[in-house]
Amino acid sequence: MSKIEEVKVLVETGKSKKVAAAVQEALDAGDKAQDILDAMIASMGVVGDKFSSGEIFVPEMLIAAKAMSKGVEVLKPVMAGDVSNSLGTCIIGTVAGDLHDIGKNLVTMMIESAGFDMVDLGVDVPAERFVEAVKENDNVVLVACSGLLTTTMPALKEAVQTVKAALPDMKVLVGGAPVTQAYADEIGADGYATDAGSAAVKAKELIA
Amino acid sequence: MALTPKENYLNAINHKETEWTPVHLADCGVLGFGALPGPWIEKGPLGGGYDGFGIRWITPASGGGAPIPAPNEHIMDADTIVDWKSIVKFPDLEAVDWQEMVNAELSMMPVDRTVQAIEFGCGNGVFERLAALMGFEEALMALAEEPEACNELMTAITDYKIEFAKKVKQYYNPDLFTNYDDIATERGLFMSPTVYRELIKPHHKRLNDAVRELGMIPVQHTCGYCEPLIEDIIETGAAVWTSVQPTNDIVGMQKKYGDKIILMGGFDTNGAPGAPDATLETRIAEIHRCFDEYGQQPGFIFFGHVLVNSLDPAEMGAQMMPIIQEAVRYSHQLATK
Repeated sequence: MSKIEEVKVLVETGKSKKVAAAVQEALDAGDKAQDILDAMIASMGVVGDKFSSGEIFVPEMLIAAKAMSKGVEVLKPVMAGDVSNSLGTCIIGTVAGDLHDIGKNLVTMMIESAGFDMVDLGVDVPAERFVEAVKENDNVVLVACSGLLTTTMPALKEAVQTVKAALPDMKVLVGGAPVTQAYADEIGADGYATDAGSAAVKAKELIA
Repeated sequence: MALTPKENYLNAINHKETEWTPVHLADCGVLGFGALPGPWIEKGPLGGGYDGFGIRWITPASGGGAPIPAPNEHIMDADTIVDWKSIVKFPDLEAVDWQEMVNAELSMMPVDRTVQAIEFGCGNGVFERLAALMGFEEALMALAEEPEACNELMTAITDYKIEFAKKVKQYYNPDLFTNYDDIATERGLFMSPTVYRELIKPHHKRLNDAVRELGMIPVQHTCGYCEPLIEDIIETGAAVWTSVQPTNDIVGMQKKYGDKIILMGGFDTNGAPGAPDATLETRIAEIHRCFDEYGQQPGFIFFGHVLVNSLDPAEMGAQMMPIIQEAVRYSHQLATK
């Protein structure tokens, strides 16, 4: 098995304690950093698909994302300054009044693993804060809003409509337990995802 | 009606003849975690604060004041769980004034033991306690990366919960003891069935066995899509699964397992009837759907709940009471037909 294949397997199986060494060995063997990164992104794509199809569950997805981040840490100094590999910046947050972060954190990991730079605004994010964050950061291509509670669905609607009013061309992705495709359509979101794996797929679709 | 609501409710749970489909919160009063946070050592004091493990709980209005662990204030992670023995400090159950807690709860939420069954809601099952200590993501990663440490810690948590249950029996003396341990999301299990069976189920079973030994009826709470584990839940000795949401095939489960376990819930809390702007007509239609669909099968107790974006008990009551009242009215109407 080539070094780069080994990295892919380690990411896919979530071996976070072994990935850094494997990435370094791949670099030492002459593999290009970009190729290693692409291999890890491909692995996370497989992980996302397996999660969406029910083949694996949240723990396996989380440890895969953790493994990838360990590998990226090794690549970062090598790729410093090279922004050509980024798909752009995604602003993400849980909407105002909602303090739940697990769904948002899972989506953050998966979208980041797909090749985006993430700016996580945390929880209880006022609608205007999403707009400010787009203006404060470079190369923002996507805003992702999460809402877990039925009581915060109005805040999700406000967030989407505030972003769209201020930035009509900005793509907005929504998700959360009570959210449906019909509701996403109703509030004017560009995309909806049922889970973190499909959120990463949808994020790439929206900016294509 | 010859039976009291309590007798009818307990008959349902014991798979005996009932006169009407029971309505939770009407036919059964709730103490502990439920309408209130319950003993502060588990979910923190009313309005938020520290629990007996040193975890801070907050009570946002968006969740109707239900306590959740303060985000990003965890004491452990998926790496440090191997050192849990030096990190996790269990509460001293003998140092707690149990009678004072019971009195305070009853002064706010009176129950009538002569006509109502009584449920005690025990917050933080083994998985939820793990998540309270380290956050959901770290807890889930720990299950995958450090299963032995997780198992050791959850064994210790279960030992503690069994002692907790003894205090509950002594001071609250409920008919039902509900172990709140959410292991599923709206669309799927948090962890694989294999991980659940190896790392969580044995602790649920041990607690349920102890609860039954103490003379209480064990109830398992989990929201979300948990249908793939219905046989496991039965095997843990739980007499009831609450709060079953219609993301599961409730009728299908009733037909197959209705003589083995009671499914409590039914109301579509995450759907249109649970939406903050849902009309009363929408909610009444949902109540009728539950009784018409699930009430015709064995093993069902209605439990309707909507989240209210408020910390004001009066506002919550204004949303909840029509649901409870219509459920009672409609259930009795159906029973007299």
